[in-house]
Amino acid sequence: MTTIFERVKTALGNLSPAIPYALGQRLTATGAELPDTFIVYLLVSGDPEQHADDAETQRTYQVQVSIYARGGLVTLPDVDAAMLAQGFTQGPERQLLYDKETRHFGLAKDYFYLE
Amino acid sequence: MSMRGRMTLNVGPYLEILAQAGRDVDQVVTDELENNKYGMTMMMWKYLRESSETWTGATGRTLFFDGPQRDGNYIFIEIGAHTDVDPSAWYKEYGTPRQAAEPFLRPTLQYYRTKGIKIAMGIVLESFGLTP
Repeated sequence: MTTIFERVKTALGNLSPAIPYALGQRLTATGAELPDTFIVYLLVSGDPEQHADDAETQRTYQVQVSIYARGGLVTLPDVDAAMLAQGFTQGPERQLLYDKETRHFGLAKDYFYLE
Repeated sequence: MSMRGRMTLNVGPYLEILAQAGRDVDQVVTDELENNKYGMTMMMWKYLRESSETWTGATGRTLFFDGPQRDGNYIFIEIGAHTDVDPSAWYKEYGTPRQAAEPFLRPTLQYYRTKGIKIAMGIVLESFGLTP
């Protein structure tokens, strides 16, 4: 069975041009800088939606994909198309607070997957 | 500025049963939100506490609930965190370039949307001798 993490990884791996991405947090070697543009994804929640005969029949996953970019938020990788192609639906999105230390702007986008 | 969560709950069938039984639906909804707002806030607090390696309680003190309120036909409560006081709740919920997100607001809302509110409404119907 394909896990929700595999689905997201497949979607982000199909971005062109390729953008570095990581689950949870983008780690760097000591002293190394974060990339100018990178993506972080995480599972926000996974809740059963429906049961039948004492068995779960449907579950909704909520996934957050955060795009961080030093160059601003005008031109960003087309994450929507990549996620929709893997069967996700779009949820709300929000601009993240500017990080003065790393100099990244951020946009967090939520997606849902009903399995 | 605060970080707030709002969602619509699909409880129409439950409310229909109450209406057919002659109950004051608005009052029942108001009472239910009043009864559950503490549980919702505690669930946020639980997620926040469990995901914090060191706990000073500062972020927990920014959590709030407000209501029940009424706007036309809508009866609702708001839950969230006062991020203008301390933005740490924002960082926890959504993350930063150097900090992994550890959501507490959205999982709470999802739990109540998929399960919590159905349990609560089931209890209400049972208390009136009704069945869903």
